[in-house]
Amino acid sequence: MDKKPTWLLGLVGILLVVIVPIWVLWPKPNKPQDNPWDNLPEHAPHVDHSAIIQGTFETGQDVTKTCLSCHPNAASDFMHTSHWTWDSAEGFKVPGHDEPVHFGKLHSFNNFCIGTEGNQRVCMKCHTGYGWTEEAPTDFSNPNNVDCLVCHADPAKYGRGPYGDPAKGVDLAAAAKGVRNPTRANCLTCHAYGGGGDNVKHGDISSALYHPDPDLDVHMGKYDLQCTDCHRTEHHQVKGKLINLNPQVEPEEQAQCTDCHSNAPHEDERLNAHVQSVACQACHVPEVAEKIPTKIYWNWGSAGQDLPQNHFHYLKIKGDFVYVKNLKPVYLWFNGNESERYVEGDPANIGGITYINKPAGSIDDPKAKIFPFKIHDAMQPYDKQYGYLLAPLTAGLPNGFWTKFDWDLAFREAEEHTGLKYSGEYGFTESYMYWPLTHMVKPKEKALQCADCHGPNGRLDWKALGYPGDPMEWGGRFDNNH
Amino acid sequence: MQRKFISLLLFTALIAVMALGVSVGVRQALAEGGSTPQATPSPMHPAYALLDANGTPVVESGQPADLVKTCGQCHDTNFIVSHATHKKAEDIPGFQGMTASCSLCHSTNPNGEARKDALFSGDTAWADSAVLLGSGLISKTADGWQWNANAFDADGKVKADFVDIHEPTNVNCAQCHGAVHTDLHTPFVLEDPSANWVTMTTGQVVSPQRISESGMNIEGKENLAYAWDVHAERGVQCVDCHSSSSSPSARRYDEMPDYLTYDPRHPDVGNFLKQPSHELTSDKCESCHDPVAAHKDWLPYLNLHMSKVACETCHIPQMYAPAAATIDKTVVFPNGDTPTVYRGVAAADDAVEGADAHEPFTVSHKIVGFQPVLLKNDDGKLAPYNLVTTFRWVYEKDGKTVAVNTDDVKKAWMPDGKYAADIVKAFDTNGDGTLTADELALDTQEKVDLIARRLADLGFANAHIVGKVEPYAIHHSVAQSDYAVQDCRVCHSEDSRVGKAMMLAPAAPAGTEVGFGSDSLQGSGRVVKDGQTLYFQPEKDASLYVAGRDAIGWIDIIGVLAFLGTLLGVLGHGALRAYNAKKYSPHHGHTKPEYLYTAAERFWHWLQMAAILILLVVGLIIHEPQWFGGLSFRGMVFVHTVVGWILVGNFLLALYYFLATDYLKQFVPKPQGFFSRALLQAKFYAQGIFRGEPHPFKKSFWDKLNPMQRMAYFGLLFGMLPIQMVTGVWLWAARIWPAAASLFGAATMTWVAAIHTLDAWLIATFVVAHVYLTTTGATPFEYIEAMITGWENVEVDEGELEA
Repeated sequence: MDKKPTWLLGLVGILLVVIVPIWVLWPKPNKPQDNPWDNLPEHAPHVDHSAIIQGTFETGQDVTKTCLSCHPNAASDFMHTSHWTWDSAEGFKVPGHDEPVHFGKLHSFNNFCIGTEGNQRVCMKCHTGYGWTEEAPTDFSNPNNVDCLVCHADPAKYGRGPYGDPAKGVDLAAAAKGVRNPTRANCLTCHAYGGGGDNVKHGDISSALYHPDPDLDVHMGKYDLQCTDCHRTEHHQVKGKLINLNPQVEPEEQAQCTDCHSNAPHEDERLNAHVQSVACQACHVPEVAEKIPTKIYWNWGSAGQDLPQNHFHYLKIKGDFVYVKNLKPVYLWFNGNESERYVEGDPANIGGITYINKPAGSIDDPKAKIFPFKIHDAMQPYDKQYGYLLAPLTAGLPNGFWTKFDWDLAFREAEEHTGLKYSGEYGFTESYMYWPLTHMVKPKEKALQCADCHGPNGRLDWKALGYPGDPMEWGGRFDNNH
Repeated sequence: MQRKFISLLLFTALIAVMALGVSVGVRQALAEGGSTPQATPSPMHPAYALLDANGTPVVESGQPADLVKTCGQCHDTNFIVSHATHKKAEDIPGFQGMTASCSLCHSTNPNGEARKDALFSGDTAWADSAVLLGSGLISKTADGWQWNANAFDADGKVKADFVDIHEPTNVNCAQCHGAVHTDLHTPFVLEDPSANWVTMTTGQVVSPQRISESGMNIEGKENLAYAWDVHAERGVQCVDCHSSSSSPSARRYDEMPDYLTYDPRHPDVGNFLKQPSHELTSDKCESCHDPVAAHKDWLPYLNLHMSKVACETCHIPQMYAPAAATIDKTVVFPNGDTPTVYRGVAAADDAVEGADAHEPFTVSHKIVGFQPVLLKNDDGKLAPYNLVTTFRWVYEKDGKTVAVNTDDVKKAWMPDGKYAADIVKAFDTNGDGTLTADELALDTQEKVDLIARRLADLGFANAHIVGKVEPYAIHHSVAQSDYAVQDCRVCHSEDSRVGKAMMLAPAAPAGTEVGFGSDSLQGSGRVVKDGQTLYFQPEKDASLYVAGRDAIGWIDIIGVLAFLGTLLGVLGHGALRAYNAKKYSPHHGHTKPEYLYTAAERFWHWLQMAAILILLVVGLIIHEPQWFGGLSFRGMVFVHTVVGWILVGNFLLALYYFLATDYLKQFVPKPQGFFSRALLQAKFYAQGIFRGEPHPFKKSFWDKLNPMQRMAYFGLLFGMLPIQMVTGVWLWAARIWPAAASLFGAATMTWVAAIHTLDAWLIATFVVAHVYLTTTGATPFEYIEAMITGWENVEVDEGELEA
């Protein structure tokens, strides 16, 4: 009998006739499909190493050797990353320089502690390697010098002392047995304390992110995201670059909101229309440093005096400062690159402002968006005769400024490290550094509202941004009607 | 010593340098790229001489300013004053002469309070000048009002820095119109709702601030992360919708022919500035929004919704500021105030909705918000309103009914600042010698009569209490679209907001009837009493059929009875068959396989079955959505629509097939001997079937239905189903052609839906009987199998077998 397939055919036919129209015609939700969770990376569960790691360890290098016995490529992968090299793999084009220029923490100046050269005792606490001494840099080609533990051990069991060696009293075996995927705590060990203290440098990365509340950072506070959820890492190469040491960043090299979120994430068409000119951060990072103050001004010129000391106002080794809480950003056009980057030996703009870096972009640049920044303003030393910025020997022993409080000596001692001649005459000149604000993203209920920018008391200076007036009234830059 | 001095000097110098550095550095850091713009004086307005009534500059004469004269130097102020919407407010105390008080609406920081103070203290001449208090032009000293000479130049003209004349901003409107809050970051607090007439009567608040960020004590506030008013949030100013009707950007609607959407012809700017009409427009939502474009992708029954429901109904779902429910001017509290009951405020006890009538509203009261009552607006659409009931003492004067002045009511209660002795005696229920707010209720006729007598003594003959309900339309406090009503069941369920009653007063004074103060309420509802509490019950609107809410009770009762009766009947019948099966061996005649149902017939049958079952279940969900909590009403309506069309399509194709093949005639009862044949079949179901007798009629391809089946199927296919399809399509069509909804008068849809519902019950009943009767074959599944395979073992006559 061939009846069986006939009725099956009929059943299938009936189901199709009923289900297909419902499925095809089902009203499309008017909400854009944006499920960021779909785009989060899945971290493979980490193997428990407590039984794998055997014996005791004398030095950090001993631990690394053990790690490499099972992970033979780990160090060689890692040694290609800027966490290790502290220098850019390739040179960048910088205005005023014909040859590409390399930037890196190893030798580039900033306007906080200025330079690391010769100051390894303190600075290299955050270099991911062992083997630094007062006299010489570490051997960058020796894989055993890589510090695996700083990223993979529980910071409660591991810490680093001068020159980046394991701190005294650390039980290296215990630290090694507890290795795991890096958590926020690992990254924050260094990244929250740049510039010499908690939240000094970034403004949007502080110790408050260890256990943030949801209103401080929705990703890390409400959903407990880890740094590596956005700064996705393959072969130890961490995604995401900071412009300060990377004057040109390709969009695919950057950790982006759109790695997880859609390009039109709002239900409201009006808000989505903002996306072409306004970076997500502009509204969703309305302020930073709510918990830990951040430094916005540093005057090296007053350092060395015997004045009352206080971390937030004056330190003999550093000068006087201004810290603020609840920092409201400044807003600039930003296309992801820098228009200016100071190179060691460049003439400083004496009497004016020397831009250590400056974000690139303008209203005429369709790729640029309005982006929030912290400005760090400093009075930093320069050579009166040669006209360039000077990096003093600070932490270096025995003649660094932080020991002898003698500027002349500090500049002279620095000559051999920086290769910049010191004429014997120094002064202090003003410089700016721009720090893009992208962490401490607030829940949508705390994001900026229209009137924060638009209307009579808005926080944006439309004319300075290149608009004829408030685009709410005058039209946006892609609006053809004005 | 000297060393110490030097170091001190150094230290001081250092601090100075540091301070300088800091101030320079920080200032520059902030100035670069992101500074906050300063409030600027008027960008255009020229310097002008502020003149007194004689036309002399006030800085010379020291006289109060006359703004009609002052502004009249350039603008046609006589025209402005006579073409001003605000003219109608001038009768209200505190608002006299406001159309001539140009700076109240046109300066940056108007001082409306100072103006009112001047008016109430009899300082009328200085009232308009008082508005400028705080602008730097004028100050008030012990010697009286003083013009500030520094603000004027030698010609008596106002210096440029002090010229701050501009288009009115929300700050200006806020001087009089309810709670208007312009600051995003200072938490909004409404301390005394009665100070803001518009807010008091409606609960409307115009503020860009998120409700969650406000300083109000609102239940569940943390979830209300949207602005009090989305237009205020989006930078839409009051004057953007309430603008001068002759403004060069104004839109004119009423006089425009259909083929225009905008008339660009306007007075030129110069003429407008010379003679600007101050008749203000009241733009509607549609002036800026295209509601069809905004809803077409998702709102079912778009045109029907648009024709029956005002935008505000869904977009102002809940009010979060207290609004007056009852203003009782008949009683005087110990502090001299008359009580007001606010709605949207949590009651001290949960006895009635609304605040405790016995204590004034304070900021510490918990606000729960309230849903406005839905009434028809001028366009005949359902729109949100607040209802305010006022109780007053009135008396007859020259044949007219006039309200007794509040001060006189106070005098009746408290002749010398204290309650009169007979009042204390009558109201002191706990006998402690003093009166507290909760004792002060006019809850008996004796108490009412006592106050009436005391008013009569004051000269108010025949004083009695009148209660009036007034509607106040709600247009502001529009919520962001995410927070608008999106759940269909808010209206489409038994607990629908449409027709929901609104509390009017916790109690009326004894013997007081409550009437409507406004004609617009006549016929829209009635006042009902539940215990002491008065409610307004909107009248049921016959022209409004709200699916999910509206059901005609007796139709459902008939339907349920038919369905359950049949169900019980077939269960009983089946049980009896099963019981008798042991006693009588079933008849087994000779059979032969016969091809009864073509593939097309079978496909049609089973598709129809699937569609009918889905439609019945989904239809029930739509009919009584409150029984099926988790299901999306919108989704169910969608499924019902699609499957309904499948049923229609299947039916039409089958009709074509049956007509083309002539198979149709098998469903038509044969007229010849129909009754006797039907009786025979009925008798079989009533008796023979229990005794195992054979079916009285033999089946063949061309005659497979017995007389009762023919009757039943004919009824289904040419009665029940077509009726269901026509009424169903009709209900569906109303979404596109609202005219279909009133084809036979206002109540058309109510009846179309009622027929659809009754017919659905009948079809469900048919399904029960039909499914049961399929089990009457040789085996319970024989007939069902036949409808699947097409083949059935049909009994044959002996003779036929031989042949």
